Amino acid sequence: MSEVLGRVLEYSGKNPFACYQCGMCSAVCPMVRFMDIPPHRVIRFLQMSVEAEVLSSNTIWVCVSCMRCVDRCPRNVAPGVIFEALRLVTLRRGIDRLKYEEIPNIEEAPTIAIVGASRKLTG
Amino acid sequence: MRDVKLLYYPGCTVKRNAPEYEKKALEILSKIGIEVRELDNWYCCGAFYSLAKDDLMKHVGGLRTLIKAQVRARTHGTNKLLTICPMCYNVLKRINNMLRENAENLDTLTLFMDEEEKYTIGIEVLHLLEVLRDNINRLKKLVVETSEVIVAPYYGCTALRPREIAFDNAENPEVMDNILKALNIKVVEFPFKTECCGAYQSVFNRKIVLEKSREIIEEVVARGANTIAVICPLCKYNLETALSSFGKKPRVEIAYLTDILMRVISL
Repeated sequence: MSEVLGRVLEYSGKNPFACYQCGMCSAVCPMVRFMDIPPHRVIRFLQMSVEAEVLSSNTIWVCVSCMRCVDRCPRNVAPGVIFEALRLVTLRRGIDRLKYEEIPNIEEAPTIAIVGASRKLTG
Repeated sequence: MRDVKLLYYPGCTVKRNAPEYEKKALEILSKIGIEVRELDNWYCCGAFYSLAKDDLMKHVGGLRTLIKAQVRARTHGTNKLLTICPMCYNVLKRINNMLRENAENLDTLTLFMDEEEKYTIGIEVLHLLEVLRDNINRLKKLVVETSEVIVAPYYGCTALRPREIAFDNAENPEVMDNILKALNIKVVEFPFKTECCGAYQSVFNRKIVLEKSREIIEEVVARGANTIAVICPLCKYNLETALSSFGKKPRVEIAYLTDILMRVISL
């Protein structure tokens, strides 16, 4: 097992190898059309140890943890939880995605949007 | 008559971006006999529940708030903690559930804190919708006006998912529909009740929010509603941002549920 995959399993406590590729997560994902790789294929890439594809895709940064796929997954693989682990692989290297100076109308944005984005997109 | 007591956690966004939501919610609760006591010196809940197993530090803010509630519960005579922001509700309830299921996590988190007492997992986290649902008969007695609005109740994500924290059917919620109907307000069925508005992508990838929220608005208009009822300050901001982005602005208003209720009841 690769080091990255080991960390994903450790952070998430979930098992991507339980996935049988039914595609439910991609079917219910409200964000799937904005993603380079749909959720069920991210899980497939992990099964095949092709993490680089996944880490460089926009998929994990488009996901907002709405928990739809987590609720619906028949194998309790919970892609939304695994995506958090994948974000942390990058964020814990000290590489932030959110640039505060680039936020449009930051004064108008609700506090939860800024706190939420900080939680999900910065380390 | 004030015979129901609740502790209250407002959270940061209600205080900064949605003071009217809070004011009206508290006025309505007061009128139906509910005594609400805001916690003093509360902490940010974190807005999003941390999903990583080894990221316990991110639960400390929420846990400190639950401990504040535990202390206040002894003098206020209730262990029920009201939230009006569904993101606060989501985070606090999930932290509560996680601690109930994992005693080791509670021990570890307790070690992070020096002066707080240990949390005994005795606080019950509630959302405003649950309180209104449970006191619907009192609310009905206040109705004095009829309203011409036709409402599409929009629930968003965080009050209902994951399903362990949902206070209604996570696939087809009806609690807000039923509150409105009980007050003789017209409600439409629509399929995007729990669709995502785009959440915090409004500060990262705004295109996503505009596209998602515009779809929700278009569907609501197509179903003949002229008002979208919301319970979340972030849903409201995103829907309003999307509404102002239309070339020809649809005739629809985005209003907190409490605003809609205030128009038909007497205070």
